[in-house]
Amino acid sequence: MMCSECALGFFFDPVKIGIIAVSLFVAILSLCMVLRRDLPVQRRVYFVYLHVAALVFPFVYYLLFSGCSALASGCSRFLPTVYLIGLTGVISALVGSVAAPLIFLYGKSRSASALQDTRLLGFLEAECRALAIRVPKVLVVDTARPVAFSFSGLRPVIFLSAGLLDLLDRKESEAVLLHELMHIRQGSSLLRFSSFFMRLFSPLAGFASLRHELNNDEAAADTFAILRQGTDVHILSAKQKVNGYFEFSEAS
Amino acid sequence: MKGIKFNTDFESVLSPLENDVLKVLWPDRRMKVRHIYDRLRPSRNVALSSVAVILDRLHQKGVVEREIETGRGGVRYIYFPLKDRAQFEKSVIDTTVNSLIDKFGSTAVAYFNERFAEERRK
Repeated sequence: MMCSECALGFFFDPVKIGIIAVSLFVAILSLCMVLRRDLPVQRRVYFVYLHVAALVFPFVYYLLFSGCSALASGCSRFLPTVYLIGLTGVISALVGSVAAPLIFLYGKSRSASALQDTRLLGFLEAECRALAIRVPKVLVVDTARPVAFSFSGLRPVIFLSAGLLDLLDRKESEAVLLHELMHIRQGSSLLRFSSFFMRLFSPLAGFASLRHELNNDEAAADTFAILRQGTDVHILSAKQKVNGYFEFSEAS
Repeated sequence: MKGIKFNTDFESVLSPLENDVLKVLWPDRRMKVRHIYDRLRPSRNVALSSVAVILDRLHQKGVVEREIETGRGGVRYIYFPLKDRAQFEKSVIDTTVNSLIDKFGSTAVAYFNERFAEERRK
């Protein structure tokens, strides 16, 4: 049952307006922290999620508050309001930091199957040993578009598209795997996802672009592949093929 | 059909490269992108990535189907035509006739009747 009085009164209650103002202030403050290049990247990523959670907070608070009569505690009592704020905070934090990455990963994994190529997997294991990092799971996404990306969570995952593997020879595929391994080691997949996530949810994202850091990470991942392979031939030809695909696709 | 040259290409419904890719795919049935590329390369200057784009486009149009195959060479798409050449020709005729009827209605139907009667008399 909807508590219409509560719902309408929400916008005229100075306490609630104050709570929303504080939430927006936290969102802006966390955005300023995202902009600070002197902070470690990982910490800036936390502020991305705090920023999104703070932006989500007023909406969740309003939705929960509108249905407050269903909680059978009334709208005006102090304690239920405190509980409501707490619950809103938890839901906002879950949406802002846990749910979105999990939904993203689940969506991508659904259309993917584990890579069965033993030679490529053997190469990956050897490189992970050298880097002293956990061997990531490699999933093949069923799409002809040549794409590769990684995600470093509890268990790191590298996604390669079937279209990419179609285009690349063995050495080029190894170069791409090395590139993605470096991203996992740097934790830059989280940075990339956070940037995407912030652009998706925050109207203020334009003020705090992470493009500079992302470009740096890309260059570092390429350099790592070149150093490990002792040549830039493979990573460059892989990039040329991928760019060629998208250029031809757009032009024709 | 004296004086009429039947064009065996499908340039009205397919791009030149789509046409060439299908010409390679029809006789051999199941092929990898790289094999199609190897067959096309002597006759035309084309990149592997362009062949991959064209195959994906044919897949989206429902002309070819694909499966992921895992073998010694790694993971690869195997493409195969959903219709043989004759079936594809029929579907092109069907689409063309339908669009003419949609556009010209009874005039097109009357014309076809007249034309088929003429063909039967021959």
